[in-house]
Amino acid sequence: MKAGLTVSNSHALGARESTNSSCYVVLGIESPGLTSSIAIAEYVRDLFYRSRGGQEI
Amino acid sequence: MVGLATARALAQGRSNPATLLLERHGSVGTETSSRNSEVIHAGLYYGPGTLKTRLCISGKEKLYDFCAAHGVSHAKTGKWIVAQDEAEREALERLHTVCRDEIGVPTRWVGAKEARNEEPSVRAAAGVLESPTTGIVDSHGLMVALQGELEEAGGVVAVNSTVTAIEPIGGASRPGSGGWRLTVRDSITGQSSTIEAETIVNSAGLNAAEVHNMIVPAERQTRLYYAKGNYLSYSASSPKVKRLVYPVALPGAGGLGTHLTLDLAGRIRFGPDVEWVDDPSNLTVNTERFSDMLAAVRRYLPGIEESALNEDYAGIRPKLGKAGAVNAGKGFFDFHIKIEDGYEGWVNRK
Repeated sequence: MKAGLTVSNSHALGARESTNSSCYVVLGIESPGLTSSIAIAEYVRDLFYRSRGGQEI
Repeated sequence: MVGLATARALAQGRSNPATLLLERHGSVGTETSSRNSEVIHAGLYYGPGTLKTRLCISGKEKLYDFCAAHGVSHAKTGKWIVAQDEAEREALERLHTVCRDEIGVPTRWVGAKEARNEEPSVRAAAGVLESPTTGIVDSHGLMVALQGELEEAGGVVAVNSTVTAIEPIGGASRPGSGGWRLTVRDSITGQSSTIEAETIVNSAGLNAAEVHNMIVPAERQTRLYYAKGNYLSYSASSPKVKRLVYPVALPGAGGLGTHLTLDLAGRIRFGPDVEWVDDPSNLTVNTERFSDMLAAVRRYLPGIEESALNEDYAGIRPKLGKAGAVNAGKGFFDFHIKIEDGYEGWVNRK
């Protein structure tokens, strides 16, 4: 992790982690499910592909 | 949406695998997929090295391409994040730095004069950061297109089909190696049937934990947390806004703040807020939250007419943890997409 940024939970920016004032905590709730849907689908297909020893689905 | 897209991708495989999408409701996408802001996110907020950042950035481009190729309505509206004081300005500067130096998401400072000319109704006392690749999409049109391609590839959508039990086939040392046996109840007739499959994908949205818990032993059971989001519609003709407008999220906030989004007809809506609930089936808009939402909106859109605000809809977002746990530094909840440890042929997406 590069200095100055701690990814502590998904998403909204706005708080500093109390234990380390130089860290930036990423908070929040919004998940990019809709936006990522096609990319996730391809990621799942690739997981199966690798699990089958490279045999195409 | 994700389950539908995944079924499509699998059905389109070269070996033309038989693909069955089990949907407990009477049509696809009636829960989280159709009760959101319909925003195509740029990928600003998830930090370097995460699956969310990686898949959001690549997914954004794939989604724009898919929509253009399939005639799905969408618009790259761009989004403004507006700061009202020095602390919020600092937060925006850090966000801009991360986007520029670490994750490669375009952001741009908008000067005060340009901001006044472009969006005279928007208050941004301490600065505006623009995300030019943010947009909006017709989520229903997108689902129709995905389902059409799934079925064109030979896939089948079985609606009113509730999974009630899942059993791995194969020895205890390699559960799932012989496939999977699912018990499915027809929600219309109440009758149950059994389906066997080589592989399964858990993309059950609000019910993902229940599906997960059907398979794993007690010590690996999990749960989800439900964040309800209420939306307000806006019926007045002014103020007019041309792009999405988000506040800078405040310290400790659970979400991105009640923001302004547009639908494809240019109508304004506000939301979602964040209301942690125990019951994911309660989709009634909580009117008790209107005053807080209005106050949040007025910080960046002071000319809003309260009488033109109406309850619109509510959605439930399933989450792996609550913001409270996050504030305690208990860890970032990235996408959980993996072949589950100790099993074969089961991709779990929670």
